[in-house]
Formats: sequence, C-alpha cells, structure tokens
Amino acid sequence: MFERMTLSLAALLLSFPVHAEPDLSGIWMLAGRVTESDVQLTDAALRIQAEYDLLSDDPSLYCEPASTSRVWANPNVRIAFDQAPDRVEISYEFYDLRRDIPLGVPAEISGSPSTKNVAGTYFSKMGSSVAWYEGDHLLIETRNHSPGYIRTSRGIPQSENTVTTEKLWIEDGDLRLTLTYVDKTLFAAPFVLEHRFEKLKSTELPLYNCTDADYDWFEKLNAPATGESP
Amino acid sequence: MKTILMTLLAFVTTTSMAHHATVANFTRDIISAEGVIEQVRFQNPHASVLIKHTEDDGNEIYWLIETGARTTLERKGITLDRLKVGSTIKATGLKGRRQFTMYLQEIVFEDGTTFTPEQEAADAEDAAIRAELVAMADDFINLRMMQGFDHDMPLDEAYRWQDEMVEIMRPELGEVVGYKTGGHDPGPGFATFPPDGIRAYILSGMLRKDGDAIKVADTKVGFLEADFAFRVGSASINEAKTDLEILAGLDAIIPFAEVPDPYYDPDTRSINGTIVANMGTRMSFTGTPVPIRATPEWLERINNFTFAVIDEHDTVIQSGQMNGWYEPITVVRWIRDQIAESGKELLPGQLLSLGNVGILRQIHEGSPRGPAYQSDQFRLEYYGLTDGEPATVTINIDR
Repeated sequence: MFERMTLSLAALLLSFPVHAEPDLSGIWMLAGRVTESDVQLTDAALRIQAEYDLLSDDPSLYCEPASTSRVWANPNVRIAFDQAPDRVEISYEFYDLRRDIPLGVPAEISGSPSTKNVAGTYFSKMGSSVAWYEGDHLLIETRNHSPGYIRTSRGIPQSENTVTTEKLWIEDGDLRLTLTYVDKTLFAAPFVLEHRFEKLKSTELPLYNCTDADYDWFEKLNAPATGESP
Repeated sequence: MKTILMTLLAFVTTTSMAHHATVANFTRDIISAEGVIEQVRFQNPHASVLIKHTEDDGNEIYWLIETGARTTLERKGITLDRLKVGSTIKATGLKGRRQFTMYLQEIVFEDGTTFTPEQEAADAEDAAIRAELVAMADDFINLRMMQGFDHDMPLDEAYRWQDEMVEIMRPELGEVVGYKTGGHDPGPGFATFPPDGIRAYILSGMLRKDGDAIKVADTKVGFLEADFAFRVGSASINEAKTDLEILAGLDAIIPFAEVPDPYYDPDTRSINGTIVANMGTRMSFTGTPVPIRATPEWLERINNFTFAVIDEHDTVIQSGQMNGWYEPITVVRWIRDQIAESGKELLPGQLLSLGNVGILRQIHEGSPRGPAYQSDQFRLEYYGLTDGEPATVTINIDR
C-alpha cells in the first residue's frame, strides 16, 4: 500500500514541470546591445518627442534616472540582487540606486517610489513596483511613474499612465530581462526591450558617485564667447 | 589662426564609446583643438579634460574633451595620469552637439607622444594578461596549481598568448624543438580541447632520453602517455600537397612517449587555458629514430602499424593499432596548417608528436582519471615500422 502511494506521488510530481524561483544572486553586467521592438508612438508621444532636447532635457544631466529602462541599459556598470522572503532589492551601481520591491500582487503597488540612491533621494521616474515569482521567472510590475524618458537618446517618453513589466530569468548562466512598456497614451503597441547580463566574478558593487553631470559650469566659462559652433 | 580642423569622415566607429547616450551627444565629424590643460576630471558619468585655447586676438575658448565614465576607464585599466595641468596638447575627437565639446580619440603632447584611450586599454589588458602568464609559468615550473586562463577570445588569439607563454618559459625550458597535438582520434575527446584539435610546443628542456627515469614527485598530476612522432626532414613539407609529398618532408619516425602535467585548477580550466598553458607539456621521451622514405609502402606501414606498452616483467599492459585511430599524415598536415595560421613554418629537425595512440596510465594515486600505474617501466613498442626489432621508447619510474 505504502509502496503504491509512493509511486503515485512520484508519478504526480513527474507529471508537473518542476520550477524553482530563479537565483539571481551575484553581480551582473549588461552584455551586448539591448534589442527593442518597433516603437509605435501615438501623436501625444510624438509631440513630447519633438519638444525633447537631449542637451537640456536629459535627466541624466542631473544624475537622475530617466526611467527604469535607462538604468537597465547602461553599459559597464554592475547590478546586484538581494532576494529576501518578502522582497527583492536591486542595487544598481549606476547612480548608486537601490530599488526596494516588496513581493505581492499588482493591486498592492504603493504610491511611493521604490527607488532611491544611497544618499536617500527618491526617484519617481523609476515608479512604484511590486514583484512576484512565476515558476523560474521573477516578474516586477511598476506604475505611478513621473514623466521621464525610456530612451534618452531619442526622447521616447514615459508618463504617469505607463505600466512596465520586467520579466527576469536565468538562461545558460546569463540573466535575461524582458522589459515591456504599456501606455495607451504613448504607444499604439507595447514597447518591448530585451536585455542579457553576464555574471561577473566580482562580488563588489562600488559607489558610482555621479558628479557634475550637467554642463552649466562649462558653459559659464565660454559665456562671453559668441558665434557659431566650430 | 585656424586652430580647429574639421574633417568629415565617411565612417567613424563609435563602438569605443562607453556611455550609450554618447552616441547621441556627439556627431561623426572629427575635429581637433589645441590648448593648455586647465582641469583633468576623472569622474562619473564622464571623465573629461578641460583645455583653454587662446586665439591670436587673445580671445580664450574653453574646450571640454570628454571620454568615458571613470568606472569604465578604470575597468579597462585607463588612467588620465599622463594629462598634466599646464601642459599643451592637441586633442582630436568627435565633434560634440554641445558647443566646444568633443569625444576624445587622441591627444598629442608637445613632445609628439600620444595618448589614445583605446590603445591604453589594449595595452593595459595585454599587461594584465602577460602578468597572468608569468604567474602561470611560475606555477607550472614549480609544480603549483595553475589557474585557468579565463578570457573569452578567439583561438588564434589564445595561440598568440601561448607564444608569449613559451617565451616566458624559454629561459627555464629551452628552445622550441617541435610541436605536439591532440584531439584527432575518435575517442571521447576532452572538453578543454578545441573540437578540431589542439597543439602545443615541445621545448628542448622537456626532452628526455630513452630509458630515463622519472620520480612520481617530478609531476603534480602527470601521466604516462604512449604517443607517436615524426621528425621534419625538409622545409618542402610546408608546400606539400599530397600525402606522399608530406611524407617526403619527413625523415624519421620518432618513438615517442610523454609525461604531460596538466595541473590546472579544475574549477577554472578552459579551452583557452589549456592552449595558453601549452597543454601542460612537461617531459617528452624519444627513442631511436626510424628512417622513412616517401613511398606508398611507407604510407601503408604508417597507417597500419601496431603497438603495445610493456612493463619491466615483459607483461603487455595494453596494445593497439593505428588503423582506425588517426591517420598520421592527416595529423601532420593539420599541425602544419595550424601553425601556418600563426605565421610559422615547420623547420627541418623539428619533432611532431601526433598525440596519444590510446594508452594512458596515471602516475599518482587518487587520480580521477584512473588507478595509478604500479609497474616501474612503461615501454612502448611499435610493430610493423621496422623490419627487425620493434622501434621502442621507455620511461622508467624510480619509486
């Protein structure tokens, strides 16, 4: 009898795929280029894009993350995960950001920003997030963004209506991320970005200390100068 | 005075740009500016050099010469230490969309020397790898565990570093006297060999005479390996096309057994590591050369000889046949073509060990590869190559 029950239990277990929460521990760095789907901007988004001036509107000029996408896509910087039973903390070397995300369901997303830097400044352009596990994937949903730019080089915007879903998993030892932006006011179809990160041997996440990212100090030096750019 | 030179180029690579927004912040136009360094700013998100250019009329213009993030530069081994406040430089780079800015490509100092971040990075990386090789060579020579060479790079680059490794080991292990290869037989293969085969150098200091004795402590994880080798007779082999032409470039079969010592850290060993570590080649034993001729009959002999390893009691430990293992002339051709990719040619007198003929015995107890050889002699006999007594080479073990 016991043997038959054991066999039945084994058969039951074998009939379902075995998933485990992904172990994202370690230090990661972007590898290769971020690939993106065709971006289908609405008229409202096109107007924002047309008004965007990279030289003055890029939040990076103030050491401020322009969006979640901008932070994930920065090359040559490290990213670390801390997976606790009730939350996930993602630490980005870029701008020394710490993203504290509780585990829960999307309905539980708070109104407070999830991201601050090590000095304690919160960044609403990174939105408010909640995370959960689905099989061997970690999913993060983020809402309540303040307006920012998903792609600062081209002025692709985000708004307070933007909802992002980040899907993270391990594949062949690499960390994979699919980042999906949904916002009917800005995009006619979801805007999807794919990333791959390689695990580093290093265990350290050094401080970035973003300093003087703007050009005000420099432009003051040439203030008396007139004429066209050479 | 025309201080700013602007040249439109059809193509300028931007792959070196560390910060992806950089692509948007700079055009593809190349410009130059001369001036005196006012500040060197080694910081995130942009390191930069501020220079002051004074025009003929006394008007001063500040230029910001930007480069990558401090973090990126540091990780590439680039410093800005050579850029001294007060020195005059000419900077060349990509014209910025912001007035009087550029993305640095090259700085020329007053004495004509240059600073190129990409070259600095390459030099720093090379220096780091060279230091790693020095440590690996020292570990190998002193019977310490070598760390694997954990660098992603094409095979030809790994072989370039193998050349460097051999240069580092040359004072201790002597001149290049030949090549060895492996991975051409139908056996299961090694995960740390490239799929098409691997080669390494044989150095004069590795050569041992027929019958020389080794001690178990002479190696760390060394093992006894029955091999087969040729000697190059003529440089014509480098141009040979047919098997007979290749055979004509060889003048002897060398009875050959070796004791490799691939003592790498098992957690870090890799294909590139195995190449760069010269396959852990430590000792090569050579018997009396067997002269050969470039005839179909000799090709037949070479492809069909048999062999056996015998101990000091004349007990056959293991035997085998070349037929079905690898084709010797095909492997010679592979070595020749492989070293040609590195710009090398085979030279008369060089040995070409074609690799294991299927018989290996561990020397050390507890090896994961199998039990330790208990006999005191590892005598390799080749049958069918000579008309009389078999060709032979012997390794004695002094316990």
